[in-house]
Amino acid sequence: MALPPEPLDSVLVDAKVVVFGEVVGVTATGPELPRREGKKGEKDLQNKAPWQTVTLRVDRVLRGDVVKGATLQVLKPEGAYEVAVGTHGPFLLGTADDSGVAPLLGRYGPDTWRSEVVEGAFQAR
Amino acid sequence: MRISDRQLRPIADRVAQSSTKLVDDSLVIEILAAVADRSGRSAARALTDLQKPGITRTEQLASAKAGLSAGEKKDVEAILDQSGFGFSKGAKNFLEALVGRAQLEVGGGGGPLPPPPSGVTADAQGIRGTLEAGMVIEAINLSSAPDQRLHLTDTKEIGRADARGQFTLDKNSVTGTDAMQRLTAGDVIRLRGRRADGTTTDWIELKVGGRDLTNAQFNPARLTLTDDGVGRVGLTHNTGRPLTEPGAKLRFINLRTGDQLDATATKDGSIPANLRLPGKAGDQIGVAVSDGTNNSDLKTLTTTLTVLGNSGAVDPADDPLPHKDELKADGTPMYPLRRYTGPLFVNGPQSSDVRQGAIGNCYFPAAVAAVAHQLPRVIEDAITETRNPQTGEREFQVRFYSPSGRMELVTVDADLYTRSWGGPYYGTTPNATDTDKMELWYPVLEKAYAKWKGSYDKIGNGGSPASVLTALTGKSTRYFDTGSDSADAIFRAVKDAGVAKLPMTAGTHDDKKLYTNTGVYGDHAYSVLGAEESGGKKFILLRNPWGESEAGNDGKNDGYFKLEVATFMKLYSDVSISR
Repeated sequence: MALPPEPLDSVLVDAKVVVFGEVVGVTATGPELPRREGKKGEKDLQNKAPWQTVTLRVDRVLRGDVVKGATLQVLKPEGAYEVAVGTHGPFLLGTADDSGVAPLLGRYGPDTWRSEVVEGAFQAR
Repeated sequence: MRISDRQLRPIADRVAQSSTKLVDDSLVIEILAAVADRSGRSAARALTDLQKPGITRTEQLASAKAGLSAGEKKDVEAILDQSGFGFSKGAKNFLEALVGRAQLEVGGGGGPLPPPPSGVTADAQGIRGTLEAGMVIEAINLSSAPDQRLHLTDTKEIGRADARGQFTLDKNSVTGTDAMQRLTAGDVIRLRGRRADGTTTDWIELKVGGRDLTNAQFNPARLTLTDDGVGRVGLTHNTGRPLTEPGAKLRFINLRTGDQLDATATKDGSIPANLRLPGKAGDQIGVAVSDGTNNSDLKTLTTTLTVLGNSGAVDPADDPLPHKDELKADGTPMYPLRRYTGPLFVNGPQSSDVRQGAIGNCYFPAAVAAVAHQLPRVIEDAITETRNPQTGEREFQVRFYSPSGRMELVTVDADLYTRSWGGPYYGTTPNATDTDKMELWYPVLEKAYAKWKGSYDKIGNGGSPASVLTALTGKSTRYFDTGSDSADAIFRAVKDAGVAKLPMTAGTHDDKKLYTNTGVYGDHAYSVLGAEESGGKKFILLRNPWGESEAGNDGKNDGYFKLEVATFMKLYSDVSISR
């Protein structure tokens, strides 16, 4: 799908943890989701990639009770992007579930907002 | 002193550990409830009965005596004679009357005993108190909840009472989730105990002790201000999540007229019903909030909100309905229409004017921005400003071409679905939150296209940029497939079309894996602005219709970027070029 990113401020209110990091492992992937096929040249079909559970290494902390160098188990929800080992950037995490796995926030995960935009939001606070 | 009754013992322990060691009237009712329990009535139920509206002191005593066992009588006598506790006059008389040593004094205005303190306290170090043995303690911080995605029942389990009903929970163990994000002086905590059978105590509310330096929160996205059409602005709490903390003082000031309205937040962090103050659509309303300690004069504004037009004004003949995601359960729009009065064009149509809204129609702004870049005159000629012959109101007549080449005219006004906080929901141009300044041509063109096709839902679930190029220019398009056409052929076609001022678009693959960390997005349409050669390399020039988020890092984040042809061929699936 090609909806624009959400306004950063509207997602920051839900973010418990904000870090710069890198995906170091993908531990599970959900089943493929039904796809809508468009006609030639059609875009914005809004097909979704399945969920993934990933291991995220924390390189820098902007918010949250985590430390640099820690690894976190996070959930990449079904949606408009996929991550792989090596995916990096700013990660906003929501509330962890009972098993301690937090969801990634933002329509495109670490590609939702540019790094300097996320940095700028914290400098402004 | 030895207390045998398991309900009385924690009360006595609490008094013994307090600094005053005083049994006053409010503590006596806890003692009465503890002894009033019997088969078929728990202490918690007894407490409720003892606090019934209208109950007299005599009735409270009778209720307690009805459940008093021999062992409990001995325990109350021990408290009176052996504890060393101080007693208020009323408390001493009540307990002596309970064990038969004295007559209950009801004269001199002696009303029923007041409700007990909760026995729970909190400060920046943690939360402690006494409930029932083994109870799970659950809590929510009502002061930090407005900034979280919470309902007031979204509590967090913070600990468990021990065998005596006591608990001491340090700050680190109770905080760290959205429901209990922090434990800051002045915060209002809502807490209750849960028994093994699932039943709970009543809610207990307490303030975290200490020097309160943190004001109440206020979430502006949860308040909608609407012109009621008769000179007043209605205030609506638009969600079940809290707007602010319970008891917060609020002041709403119409910045145009100076009228102000004061209110106190309800126990659920909402506002009282039917709040109104003088004003009209477009007015700016300043909001001040105070927790009673901080900003207590309500002089500092927390935020400013814009009054929207009356949401009942959707004209099915004129206003295309929103996308289904923006319709309420009853089929009415989630966001009201608001009239924009800015100029149709400022410096003519430019690609940088176009901003895709929160709708899945990237193909439309990508094509429109491409036309604005190459043939701005086409857009200027396509939109004509007029007046409605009946009402005299400002309207716009927009020209599209059907696939067969027939010209069709669509008339719309500049009433756009708008949020109280953030401007129009669908396509915009810069200055989107200023109704008098926002340049209108792109949102008007999009509204006309939605009306032409049937609704925003009809245009908001994907489509073909080539069809939009045709709708605007009346010309067919050429299609290039990066899977079958060569890089050289595509580069040459784009370069020649750029020179000839022919609008172009390009689309990406529907493959999410391919685009992570590239600055390019999958299943997306882009405007192609041309091609260039520099430093011995060939580049395709592109623009993201979002008006932001591009590959590379030129520091601008304005949606404009260029890709080497080899990268373009990998990331893009097709190119459409107008004839």
